[in-house]
Amino acid sequence: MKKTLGEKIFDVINGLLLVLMSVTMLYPFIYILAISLNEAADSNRGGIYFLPRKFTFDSYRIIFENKNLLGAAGISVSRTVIGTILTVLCSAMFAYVFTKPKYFIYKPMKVIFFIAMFLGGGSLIPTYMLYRTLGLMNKFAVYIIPGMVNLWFVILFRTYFTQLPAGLEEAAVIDGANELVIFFKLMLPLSTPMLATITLFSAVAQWNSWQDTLFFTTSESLKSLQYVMMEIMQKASASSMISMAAMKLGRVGRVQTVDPMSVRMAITIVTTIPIVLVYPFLQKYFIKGMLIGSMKG
Amino acid sequence: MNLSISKKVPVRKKHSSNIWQTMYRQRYLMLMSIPFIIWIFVFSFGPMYGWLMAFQDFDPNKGIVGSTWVGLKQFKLFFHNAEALRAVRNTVVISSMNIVLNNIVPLILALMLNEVGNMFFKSTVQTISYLPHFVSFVVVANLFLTLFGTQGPVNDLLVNIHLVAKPIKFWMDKNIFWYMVSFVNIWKEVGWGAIIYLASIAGVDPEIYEAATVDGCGRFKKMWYITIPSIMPTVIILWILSLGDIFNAGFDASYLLGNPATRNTADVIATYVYRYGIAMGMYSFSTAVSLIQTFIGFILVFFSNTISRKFTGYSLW
Repeated sequence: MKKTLGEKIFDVINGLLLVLMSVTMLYPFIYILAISLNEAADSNRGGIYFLPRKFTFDSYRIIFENKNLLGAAGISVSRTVIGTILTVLCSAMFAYVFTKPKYFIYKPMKVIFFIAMFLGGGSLIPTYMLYRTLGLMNKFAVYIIPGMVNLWFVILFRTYFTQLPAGLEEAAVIDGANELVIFFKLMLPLSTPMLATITLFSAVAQWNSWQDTLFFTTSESLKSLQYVMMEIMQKASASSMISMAAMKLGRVGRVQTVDPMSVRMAITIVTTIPIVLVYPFLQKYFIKGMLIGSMKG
Repeated sequence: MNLSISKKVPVRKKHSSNIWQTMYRQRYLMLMSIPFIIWIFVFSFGPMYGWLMAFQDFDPNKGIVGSTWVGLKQFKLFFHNAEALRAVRNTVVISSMNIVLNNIVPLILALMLNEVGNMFFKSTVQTISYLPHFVSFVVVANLFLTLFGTQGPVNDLLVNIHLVAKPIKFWMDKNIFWYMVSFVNIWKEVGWGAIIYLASIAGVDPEIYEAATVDGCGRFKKMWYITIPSIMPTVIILWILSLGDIFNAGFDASYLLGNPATRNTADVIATYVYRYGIAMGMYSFSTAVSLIQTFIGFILVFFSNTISRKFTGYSLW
């Protein structure tokens, strides 16, 4: 098919606009990366836009040498790993039970589920009081237990399970397998695309979460990377720990190579990199998963 | 008569197999569901019990059972509190802007992507476009506070091309906060929002396009007369359903991007409730505020769902 002149012009403009949009999406990250890799004293003179001028890894060294920040990274990693495994397993298991209409409490269970879906949870203060009563305040468990089951994930998993060929499960039943075995040995291995999607969603949510730290903890040792970054961004006092570390490092080099700003940028990069590495490989899965979910919705 | 009874008997026997036997047979299902049902009762229904605080002068030491009941006092306080009403206004404005932009811009992006012939270019742009969706709001706030800071590249650019004489304090100006937040929100979610539109575009029957080509339709005509009408149902559903969020502006944006200088336009219900509830300990009052919020939100979802079912045939329930 031949294109008319108008169409060619349209293609060019369309392409240019899309490139412009992509640049808008990426540029903030490029800028932050450049600042985090540049000597702080030099950055303050301005003029850094794309590439670092005086290259240094010192801001990153501070992160990996600072005990508080390392501890925060530890919290972020452990809540992501433990929380994700638990959420994915529990949601999938619950979803599997929802594929069994013959289960004697299937109907009440379904009613409870939908009430919870539309009315449950939500409000901050009642939740706060509940966690206080349950003794979840200032415990690592507050990151894990309240998010153990995700009702939305249950729906996604259930939709996926019901689409699997029923014959496989029947065969397993004839072989004498119980539901627990069928779930772990058959359903989960057959659901890799869904598992990948939910794992990604859940891991990203855990890794990115910072509100629960703000609301439900006061303890220094429970702060996650996101939270520490938020503190540095919001409160000047929080940056004193960085400043001290920065001064120590700066003295050695006799130039101010690091300041709270450059460390803030370095933390931003460190918290972003895992996500940038993971999501492009999973995108064909999560697009599918999202569409299953929205069709149901 | 006898015959009919004798016919029923075996059936009844089967049914009356006692509940304990059923439970034993389904013990694995019970094992796999009862912990989660308990979890739902505690973590989903538990907070509902806390709503009662809205009708009390709640004292954490006495608990809900021991606190004094005050009826609607907290709600009356709310309607006489200028700061709370300001938070409501900001919530409605910010979320309305989000709803409008988050429905229109992703649609435009999807239509633009759909016109791209080169698959590699298309998928690259798409992959880049939803990167921000996966990044935490703390990172996003960090990026934009820096980028639009007084020493940031945006101000550098504006000064260098002599558009402004001195740097603009983007984040200190309460008059532009709403626009700044809208921009950040749309930047974060545009690519993600486009996924669903692209999928519904992909669902359009290719034969319709072929027929249109045979009839001599150009690309613009196809877009205008085929693509857009075909995805209209999706567009309408997303619009209507998002109306339920009008009383729900995110905590993240206002808390992370706002500051005392912009509080007049930045403070939304979520940040207000946090400030009065947790930071100041006015539990009952802030519970009342969020109860109102939840109630209106629920009514809006219900209404938009009803409207959606009536006009498009699609609904949540």
